[in-house]
Amino acid sequence: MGAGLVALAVLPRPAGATPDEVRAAIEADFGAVPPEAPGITVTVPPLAETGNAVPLGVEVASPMTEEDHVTRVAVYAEANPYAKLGEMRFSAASGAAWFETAIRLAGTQDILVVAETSTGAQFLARTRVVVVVGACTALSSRY
Amino acid sequence: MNTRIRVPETAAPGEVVEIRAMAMHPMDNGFMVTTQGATIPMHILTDFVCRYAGAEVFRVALGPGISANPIFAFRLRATETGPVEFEWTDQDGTVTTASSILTVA
Repeated sequence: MGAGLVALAVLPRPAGATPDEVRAAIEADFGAVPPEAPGITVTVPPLAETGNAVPLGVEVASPMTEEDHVTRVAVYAEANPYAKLGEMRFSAASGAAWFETAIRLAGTQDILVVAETSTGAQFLARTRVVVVVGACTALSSRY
Repeated sequence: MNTRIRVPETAAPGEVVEIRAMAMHPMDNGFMVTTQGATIPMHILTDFVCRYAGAEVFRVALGPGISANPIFAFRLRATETGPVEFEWTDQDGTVTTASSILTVA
């Protein structure tokens, strides 16, 4: 979708995931698609010039005690070739359910972050990112 | 595989400190094509874990959607002086490790 904004010759792009595939991936990982709920702060630029390294920051509010801490956070992209980007796991020793990394996005899409805690609570956050040139796009004019 | 880690030298007991770890890895996602027309096969790191004081403080299951030269910033609660250990696993099973001592006083 993002590559369609740029009038350049592009090589064939891999097929993207669909929201249904992301829903199925979340169900496979978490049992069900949890409701959107506050508590997950997703920090990502609203517009990324290139999808090759989009900085992503995630923080889940949690006391991070042995009794109540975030156990895992998974990130999904609705239009990437692979619906699931990665899964991060935490323990009470982590001190905070917080991480920063850089991800690839194939184009403008919603990314979904799903978190689960040691008490069994699950919740989700959805964020839209506009990508000018997608990650899996090999521009022939670049070579 | 080259790696870079950043662990604070000292921390107060109970302080939550930031850790950064980067690995120099192409994270080929299997979609890129050479100018000769050959598809570059997928070659990624599959796992990253950081251990401290006998616990896993951060673990990642990586996929091809993580950028090349993957960098992770995360936190841990400083409790005792000891090594903060990092371990990356390649899809072919190769394990790369790094560590740094965190002094808690």
